Amino acid sequence: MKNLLISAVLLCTLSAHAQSVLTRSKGNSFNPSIGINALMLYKNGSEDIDEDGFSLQELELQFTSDVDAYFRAEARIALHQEESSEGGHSHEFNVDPEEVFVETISIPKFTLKAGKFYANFGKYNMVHTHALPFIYKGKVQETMFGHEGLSEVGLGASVLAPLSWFSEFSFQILQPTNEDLFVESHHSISYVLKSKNLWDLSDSLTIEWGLSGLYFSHQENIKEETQLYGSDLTLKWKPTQSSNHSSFMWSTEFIHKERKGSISQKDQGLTSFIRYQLASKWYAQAQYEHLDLEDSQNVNAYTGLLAFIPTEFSSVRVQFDSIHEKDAKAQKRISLQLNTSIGAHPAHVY
Amino acid sequence: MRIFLLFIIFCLPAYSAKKIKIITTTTNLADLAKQIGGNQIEVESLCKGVQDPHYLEAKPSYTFKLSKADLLISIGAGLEQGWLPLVVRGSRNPKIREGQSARLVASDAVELLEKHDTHISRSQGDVHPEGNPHFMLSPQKSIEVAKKIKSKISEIAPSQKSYFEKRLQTYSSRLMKGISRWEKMIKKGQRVISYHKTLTYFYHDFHVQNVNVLEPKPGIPPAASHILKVISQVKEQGVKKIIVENYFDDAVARKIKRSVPDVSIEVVPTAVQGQKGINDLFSLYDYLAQKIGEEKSKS
Repeated sequence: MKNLLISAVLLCTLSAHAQSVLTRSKGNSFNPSIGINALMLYKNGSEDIDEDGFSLQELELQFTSDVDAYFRAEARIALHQEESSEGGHSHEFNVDPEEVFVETISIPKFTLKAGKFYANFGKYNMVHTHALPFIYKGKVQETMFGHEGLSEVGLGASVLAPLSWFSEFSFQILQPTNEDLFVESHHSISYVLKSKNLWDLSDSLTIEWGLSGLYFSHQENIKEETQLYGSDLTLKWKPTQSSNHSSFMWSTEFIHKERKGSISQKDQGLTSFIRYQLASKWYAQAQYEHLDLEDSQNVNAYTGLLAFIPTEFSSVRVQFDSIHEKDAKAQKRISLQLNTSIGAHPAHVY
Repeated sequence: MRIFLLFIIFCLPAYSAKKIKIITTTTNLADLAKQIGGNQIEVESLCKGVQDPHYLEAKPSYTFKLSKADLLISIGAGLEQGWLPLVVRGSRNPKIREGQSARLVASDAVELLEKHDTHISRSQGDVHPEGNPHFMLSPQKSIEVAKKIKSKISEIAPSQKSYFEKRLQTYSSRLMKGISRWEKMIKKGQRVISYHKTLTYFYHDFHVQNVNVLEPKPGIPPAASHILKVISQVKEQGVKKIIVENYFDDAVARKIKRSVPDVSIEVVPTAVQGQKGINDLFSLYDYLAQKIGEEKSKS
């Protein structure tokens, strides 16, 4: 309840601010672009029956604007149902500032970024819930980064390499707080490095390859160390003619995580999916995930999805998951999601 | 001293041959830039002639191309809103951001049709509040954009100002001759049905009456009730042609033809390189005039 009050006050303050700007400026040209994404969900599964039924999966508020001639700012605030202590969803909502950052717009060649943001690791950590390829974050992503992904406060720099193809390098330093990766320490930082490359094989076909690394080390009584390596490969086909009727995508990501110190852990996982466009508004998707966990518990997850996407502002998706853990009965789950977007809707990353 | 002079002689052609690198969002803008910039520019369009510029994806390769651009020419009026801001940001080329020195938004140069001054919402489909963005299909308006391009590239290469001015005059006079030829080919008040409001400006220039569009709302595919309404309009108003832009499916037009066999269907390109043989704006306007105006030559 308290969180809802905070968010209401926050919205009122922003609205009042926007109104005051309106009176000072011509029209609303200096107001930030505001977008709202709402994800409504119905779920029915063989496990976690407390989570079954209808729920508001997430409400995401996005604010974007240029700050001045040197910076632009972005804020994405998510509201989602709290996990109950007895399992399942409670009636309370959490307010989570997923990303609040500024980045430079006036420096040629480089972009510098500061604030709280998703770490530029792999292909899907930076993707927000409403833009995820499937209804839920993949098992591999959840195991490596936790339910909310890796979003930390820090600084980042990125540059386009002077090569004959698109090649972007980024380097970020982050204050470590994510319990799935770090031992929290105010005097240590983690480093994230990523190289993203894309080649146009033809006007309709692209191939993207990324290589990521994360390193964290902290010495107190014992040395705590985390290393993460990842590689991703995505092939996209969209014909130049009749491009609204057919397309194909295949994407694969591999992540290896190793923790040493008070927690010793060595996990690795692979996610691979295909998306095929059946008609102008219909898509079919299939995903396979494999996790190799430290405690020799292997997990295999199979997912199928059918999406109806009438416009870029709404979609209805139905998904079936079958998750197989060693020596355990397979978990089955069927989910139906309505994804709507109002207001400003910034372009999604390719 | 002799070596120094030789060095200067060798370097001079390389220096003088440095062309202005222009990226445009559409092939129509690219051809117009080429008409004015001639051999002083290198130009490339992000959208291919057969693609619908509303629905491009923000490809990183566009980002890469924009990072090296001396000038970006976009249509504006919301046409590229779904993809261009992201690639401009990714290019890390601050001078091509909107409002900066190396950015030209062509819609700023023309008076747009179909502006929405009243309240609009997305329930009305893919509407552009600023006005219809397909103004490059108006030969008249292309001259206004050409003047703006001439001014902008003259700022970038002031030494070539008279060269660009001369090319602008050549383009304008060649186009004026074309306009009087196309006016003769198209019957004033001719009634057509189109798929989308892409050809609004061409129709406006040549007084063609667009009775209706096959999309019930912009970006929304035709529904059965709307098709029935169009069929009755075709019959009642004696419409002889259905014009379908070649990046749309002509299946609905064929369905109407089954009900009204007299009507003919013309699938037309709306951009340079949109079809084999459409290599510049003149051949595009010429082709459109031929396909839309055939009725006059027959009558």
